[in-house]
Amino acid sequence: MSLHLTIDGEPVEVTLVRTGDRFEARVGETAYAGTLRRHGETMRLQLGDRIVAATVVRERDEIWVALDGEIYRCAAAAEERDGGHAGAAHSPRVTAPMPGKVLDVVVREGQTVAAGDPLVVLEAMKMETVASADAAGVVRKVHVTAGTLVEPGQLLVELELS
Amino acid sequence: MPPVTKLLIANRGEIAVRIIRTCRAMGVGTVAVYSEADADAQHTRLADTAVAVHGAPGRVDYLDVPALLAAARATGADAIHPGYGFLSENAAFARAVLDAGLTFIGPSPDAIAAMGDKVAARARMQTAGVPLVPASGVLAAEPLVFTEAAATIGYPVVVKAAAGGGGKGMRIVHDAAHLPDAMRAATREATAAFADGRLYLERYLQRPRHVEVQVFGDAHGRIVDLGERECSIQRRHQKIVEETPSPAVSPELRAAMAEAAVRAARAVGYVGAGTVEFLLDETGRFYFLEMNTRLQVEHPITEWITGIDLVREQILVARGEPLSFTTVTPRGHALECRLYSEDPAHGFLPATGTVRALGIPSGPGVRFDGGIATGTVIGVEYDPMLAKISTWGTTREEARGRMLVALRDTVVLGVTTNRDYLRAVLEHPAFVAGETHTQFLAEHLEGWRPARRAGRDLAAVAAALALMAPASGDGPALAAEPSPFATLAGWRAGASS
Repeated sequence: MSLHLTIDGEPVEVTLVRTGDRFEARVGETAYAGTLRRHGETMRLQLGDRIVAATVVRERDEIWVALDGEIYRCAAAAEERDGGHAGAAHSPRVTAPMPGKVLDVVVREGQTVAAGDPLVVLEAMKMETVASADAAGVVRKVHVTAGTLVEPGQLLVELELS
Repeated sequence: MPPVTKLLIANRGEIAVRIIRTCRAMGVGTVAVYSEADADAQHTRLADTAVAVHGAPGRVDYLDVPALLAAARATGADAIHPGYGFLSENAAFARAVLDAGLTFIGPSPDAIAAMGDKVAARARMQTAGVPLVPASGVLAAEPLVFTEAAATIGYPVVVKAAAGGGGKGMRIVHDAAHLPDAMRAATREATAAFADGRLYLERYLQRPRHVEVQVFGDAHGRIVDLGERECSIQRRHQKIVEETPSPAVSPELRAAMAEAAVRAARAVGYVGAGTVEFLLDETGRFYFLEMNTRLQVEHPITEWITGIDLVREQILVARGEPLSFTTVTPRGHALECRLYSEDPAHGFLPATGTVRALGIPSGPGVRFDGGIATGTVIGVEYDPMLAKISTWGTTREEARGRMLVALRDTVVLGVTTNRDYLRAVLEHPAFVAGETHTQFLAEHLEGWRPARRAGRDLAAVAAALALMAPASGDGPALAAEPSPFATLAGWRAGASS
C-alpha cells in the first residue's frame, strides 16, 4: 500500500509491502528492505547488517517516532487542517496559537484594526503571547473574554478583512 | 534542635522528586503535597505520604500556606522544604512555618527578607563591600553634571529613568560627546512615560556573563563557598544551560568572587544553602546582582564537582549540625541542560500533551533529574521544565561530549521539547570555545530551526509499519491487541500493491 504522510511538516509518500516479519518499503528514490520485530511500542528494524531501534507512539493526531537518537513527528497529509493560520495568507479567523488562558481582550466589536494590531493577550505557563490581526479589517465578533480557557486552534476573534 | 524526621515538600516536579530521594537515603520520612492537576504526578508516587492541597478559593495550590501547614500537622511532619520557586523565598511563609513549631529548611525569615528587597539588599551589599554595578544617584539635568558622573563611572554608560521600567528613557552612551543629547532625549521620554523626568547613570555591561557562587552557612557561624556556576545561556532571562567551573573565571577571580559571596552571606547572617549572583563583564570585573536564598535549579552541577549532596547538607544544617565537610575540592567539569516542554522553532511557545514514551539517559557521568514518567500529562498550569540533564567529565570537553550523548538518549515522545535546541547550543563553535555570555542565544541561535535529519525517511517507514494492520507473522502480544493506530482519523491509504 502507499501512505501519504507529512514528517516534520514535509510531505512524503511511503510505499510498503509486508509479508510476515519481512518488509519492503520505498520513500522517493530510496528502497528499504528488512525484517521487523515489534514489542509494544518499540520496533527493531534489521536492514542488512544494520539494526535500528525505533519507538513509535501516537499522541493526538500525530505519530511520534524516535529513531537513531532523533525524534520525528508524522501526520496524515490532510488537504485541509483546522485552526491556526494554515492555508490562506490572510485569515479573517484569529485562533489561539497555544493552549492557555485569555488575559485580556484588547479590541471591541466594530473596532477597525490594522495588520499586526494586538487583539487578544493569552497566557500559558507563566508566558504571555499576543494574538494579532493578520491583515487590516473590522472586528466582527469576539468569541472570548478575559479568563476564558482556550485550546490551540480555538476561535478568538473574527475579522471582516478590508 | 529540631530533629527533621519527617519532611513535607512544599513543591512539585523534579525538585520534589530530587528532595524525596535524599530523604529516603537519609531515612527521613517524606510527605508530598499535590494539586488537583498533579494527582498523578511523579512526586506523589515516590513520597511515603501524599496529601491533596487543592488551594482554597483565590489561592494557588502550592502557595496555600494554611493548607500546607494543615497537611504538615495532619501527617506529623516536623519540617518543611520549600524547594525553589513557589514559597521558597517568601519570608512570611518561613515565619509561619517556624511559628507552627516546625523546622524550615532554609535561612531565617530575616535573611530571606533582607535579600528579597532588592533595593535594600543593594544598600546592604554596598556597606558590606560587595561590588555593585557602578551607578550615580539621581542627577540634575545639566550636561556638565552628567559628563562628570559618567567620567567617574566609566564608559559605556546607560542613562536610566529613576521612575523607569520597560526600557523607556534608557540610552546607551559610549562617549562624552553624545551624553548631552542622550540626556535631553531621555528626559523627554521619561517625562512623557512616567511624568517624572529624573535620570541617573549606570555602567553599561556589554555581553556580561552570569556567574553565581554557591554558598553554605551553618548554625555555628561557618560560611563556605562551593565554587561558581556560569549560567549565561539564557532565553527571556531564564537559564537553559549551566556549567561549572566557568570558562571565564581564573583562579584569582574565583577567589575574589568567593570572598565577595561569603561576605554577602555573612552580612545577613546566612544559614543554609544560598547563591550569590554576579554579572561578570568582558574585562573580568564582577558586580553583585542578587542573592537567592534557597536551593537553585542548577545545584546538581555543584554536587557533581564537589561530591556533596546539597539537600542532605540542608537537612543536617537545619538539625543544627555543623556542615559535614571541612574542605571543598572541586574536581572536573559539569554541565546541565534544562529540558523544557516548549517549541524553540516557534518563539519558545509552551507545548502541552501527554508523555507517551520516555527515554532516560544514563551512562558514565550522566544524571537525570526529572518529574515525569510515561503517561504524565503536561498541562498549562505550571512551569514547563520537565527535567534536568547533567553530566560530569574530567574536562569541559569530556562533559560536553557526554552531554551530547545524554541529550541524544533523552527521548520524550508526545510533547515537543527544546532537546534539539539544547544540542545546537552545545554544538555551537562559540560554546565549544567557552565564549558564553547573556547575549549568546540572541547572537548565535536567532531563528533556529531543526535541521532535516538523515533518518527521516526511515522514520516515515517505521510510522507506516506501525500504521499497517499487524500481519500474521507478528508475535502474540501484538496480534492479540488491535493496532493503536487503527482508529487514527484522517489517514489516507492507497490501494494495496
